[in-house]
Amino acid sequence: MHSKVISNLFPMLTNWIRGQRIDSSPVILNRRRIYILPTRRGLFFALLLLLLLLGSINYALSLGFVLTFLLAGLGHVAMLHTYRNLSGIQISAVAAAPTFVGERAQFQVSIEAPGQRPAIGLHFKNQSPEWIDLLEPGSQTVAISLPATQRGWLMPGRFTVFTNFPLGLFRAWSYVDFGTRCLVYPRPLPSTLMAQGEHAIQNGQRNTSLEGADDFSNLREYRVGDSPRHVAWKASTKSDAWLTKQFIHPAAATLWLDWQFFGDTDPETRLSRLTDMVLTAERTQQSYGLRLPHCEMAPSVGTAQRECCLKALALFEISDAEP
Amino acid sequence: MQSPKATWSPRPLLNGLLATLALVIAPHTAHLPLWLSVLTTAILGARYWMARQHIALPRKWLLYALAIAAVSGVILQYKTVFGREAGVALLTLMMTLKLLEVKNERDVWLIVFLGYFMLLTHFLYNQSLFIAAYLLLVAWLFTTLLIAFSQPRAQMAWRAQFKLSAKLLLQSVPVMLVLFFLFPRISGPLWNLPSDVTSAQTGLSDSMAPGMISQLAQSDSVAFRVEFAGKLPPSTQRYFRVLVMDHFDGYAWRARRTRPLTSPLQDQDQGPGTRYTITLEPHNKPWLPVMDFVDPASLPIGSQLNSDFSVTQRELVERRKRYSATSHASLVNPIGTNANDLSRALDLPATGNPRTRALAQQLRSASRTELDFVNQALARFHNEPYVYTLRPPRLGANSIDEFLFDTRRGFCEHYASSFTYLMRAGGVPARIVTGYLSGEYNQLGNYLIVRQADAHAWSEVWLTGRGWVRIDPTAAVAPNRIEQGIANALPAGEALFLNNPSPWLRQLKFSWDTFNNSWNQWVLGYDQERQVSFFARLGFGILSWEDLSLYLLMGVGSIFGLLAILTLRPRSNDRDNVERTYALFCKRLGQVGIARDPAEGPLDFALRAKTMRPDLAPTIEAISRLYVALRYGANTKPEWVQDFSYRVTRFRARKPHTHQP
Repeated sequence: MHSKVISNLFPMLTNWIRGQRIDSSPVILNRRRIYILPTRRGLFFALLLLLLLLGSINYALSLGFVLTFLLAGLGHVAMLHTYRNLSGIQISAVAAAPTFVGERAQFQVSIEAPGQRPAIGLHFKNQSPEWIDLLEPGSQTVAISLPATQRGWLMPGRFTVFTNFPLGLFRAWSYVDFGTRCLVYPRPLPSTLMAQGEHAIQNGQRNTSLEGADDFSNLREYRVGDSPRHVAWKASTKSDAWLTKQFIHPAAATLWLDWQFFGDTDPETRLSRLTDMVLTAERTQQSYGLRLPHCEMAPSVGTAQRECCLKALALFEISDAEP
Repeated sequence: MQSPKATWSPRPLLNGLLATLALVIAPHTAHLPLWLSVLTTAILGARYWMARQHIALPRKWLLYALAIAAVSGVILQYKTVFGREAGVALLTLMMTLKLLEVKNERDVWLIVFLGYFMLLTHFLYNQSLFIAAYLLLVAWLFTTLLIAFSQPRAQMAWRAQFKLSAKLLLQSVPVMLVLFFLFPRISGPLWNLPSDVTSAQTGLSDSMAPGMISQLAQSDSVAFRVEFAGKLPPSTQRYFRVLVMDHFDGYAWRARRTRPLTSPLQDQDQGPGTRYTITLEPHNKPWLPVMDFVDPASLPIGSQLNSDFSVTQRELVERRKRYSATSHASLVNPIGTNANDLSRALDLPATGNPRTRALAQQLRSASRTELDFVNQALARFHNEPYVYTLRPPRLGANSIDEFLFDTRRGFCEHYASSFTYLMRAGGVPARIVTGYLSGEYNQLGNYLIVRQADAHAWSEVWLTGRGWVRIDPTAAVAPNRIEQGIANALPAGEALFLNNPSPWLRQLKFSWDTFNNSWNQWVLGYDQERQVSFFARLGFGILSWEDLSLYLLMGVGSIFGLLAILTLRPRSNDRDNVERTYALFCKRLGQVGIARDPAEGPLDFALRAKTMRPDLAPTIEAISRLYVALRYGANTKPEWVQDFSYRVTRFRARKPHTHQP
């Protein structure tokens, strides 16, 4: 029963010597990647078997022998089933959405098995596992998470896929490393934003208040192509024509978020504050530009701008920005 | 202040655990003290209630106090913590108290392991087929619990878990069998058995007072079973000797300390003798029943033939014992017995039973030889109105006189006792032999069942020139007892369980006993001796424990390999199924002469087949199209596979047998 363990020592050793390789997605867990060892509970089970055997020998209990050997057989079978519970599982990398320092980075993988595979755990080193039960055909997505502690690229390395099913006497596991990385934005720091922000905004060409972006301005006659959501139905009933509500267009206001405005605070704090300002500007649909010591983002608003700016903040002065 | 522990209560799982624990403890309530059974039930109930009402588990100090109190209770009860009874009590307590401590399911496995161990303790009391089946069920439940507890999200259906657990246990059976048969057995315990493991059993004792054997005759329990190598000897020869008693104190007969036989025995008929194997139920006495008269050379190692032809072994028979022996109907020791034995065989108490003494003198003087005297005494039993009964009246101080002259109602011990007394009073050396007579033959299993009810007492007299001769006075009173067994010898209404008037009930009883006997022989009686003979009979010769270990490793290894292949082989996927099914379709067509050329594409083949069998054209068309779609198509649906295999399995190329005009 230990031949499997020994045969698995070899790939373990070679892995260790060669260093971790990056797996190409998808990975199918097979004999070459699965390791199996008894758990603590499994060792206790062995102790139980020994006690049962001693008892049976001493009292010459034939049925005691039957029980002992049946449980010994169960141990063997459990090992096979634990191994089988992992083998054949197919894991593919999905994505890792960017996150902020202080939150948990979620690495999504898609997992699928050729049969029923209950109680599969996935985790990064020293993290508590995410559990998934593959009971229905088809793939499922599971997010393996770990805390994002600093901005920049988070490279968590390999994660572990494991199972103790069915009896918990053995643990079969495998390592998978897709080389997936996750962009970690600085932690937003809102506390002093408004005071400092007013300063920053004044320096920019401010046309409207931050809060007023979506404010209703006036009504005009309906033109083809206006959104029905903006039609002032109530007002239109009193008028001959349909009336459309007009808003101050956010693009009209431009905001410069400048590295220079934070006096002598340390760079990380500045980045955090800028991050928060980006988020605020996005929330209020305020057009904004970003000025950092070595780069400048032209004013704009929207998802692309947000991501562009946050990425610049995340990777600020990180030399190895694109590993 | 300590905050109370949060209680752990995944209810269905916990309830399952509680129920299973109750089941594993239940058979022990028969021998646990009442307070312990009550306490255990209370703890199980309390745990159930706590989970139901979300009550916090008791504090640590309370648990310790409870544990200490319970252990003290056990010590007070048994005066020890060792031994079978106290051990079981402690294990029960530990297991149930642990329940009050489990905070999460990670701790549960320990309770389940204790439960597994608990299964073993039942076998100390009972190894019957029933308890084995019951405990197997409990083991199944425990294994299911382990499965349930190893899934953090508990997504599997209960049914599937029970099924998986059964599957795991079934797959364990081959390894279990190999280990069971090959694991080297050792004889004797590793450490001394606590004295409470063996308990008193019914059976013969080393003294015989009036009423003792008649009491035994009401016990249905099996004393031993005998398999004969040759023909079953007639009932009148099936005297199984256990003890010889030659000391009479006026009321009871007693056996003396046995001495090994020193003088050689002489086989008078020189025949091959009767070879038989006895499986003796444990009786906690050193003696081994054998048929008269046993050949000392045939006796098992560790046993000895005594000067009175009884056989004993050094240790007590605490477990079911199997041994073989050969007996000769007329093996005797003509030189006999030393003078000491003979003089003892004449000893009588100085006073008492005057009427019997007078009768002995009268009969002795009227007969010319010792044999004549014996026959006259037997004739008296035969001719006078003596009654053979299980319920004789009580006897007083002069028990022999009262029986012979007044009550005249008695069981075999009364006849044997009074006859022996009579012989001694008449100057002929005589003694009592106790043992078993005839037994019941089980045709189904081809063996003899000897029960406690078959216990018997008879006499032996010393005849000059012939040695010790067996005389059974009961035969003179109730010849049926000897010829047809006890059930037919007793008056109607006395032998309640012994009479089985309906043949099918008798048959059922025999089947059950045969089954039980095989269980005893092959499962419970599988010891070192049996292991050696089993492999010798299989042609392996005598295996040492090294050989056994080697075979064991090989056996377990190959089973493990086989199981690994079976368990880990890739599931045949749809594509394989489709290929197999299509092959079946081609075979069906091949049977009617439309064989597919290996190079022929499925659509070409279909075209050819359709022209040859226009009657089957639509089916051939459908099957072939489905096959092509499944085999080469990009997007297939599972329903197509089902449809495909449904059509193929119903496809018949052979024409039905109808007469065409």
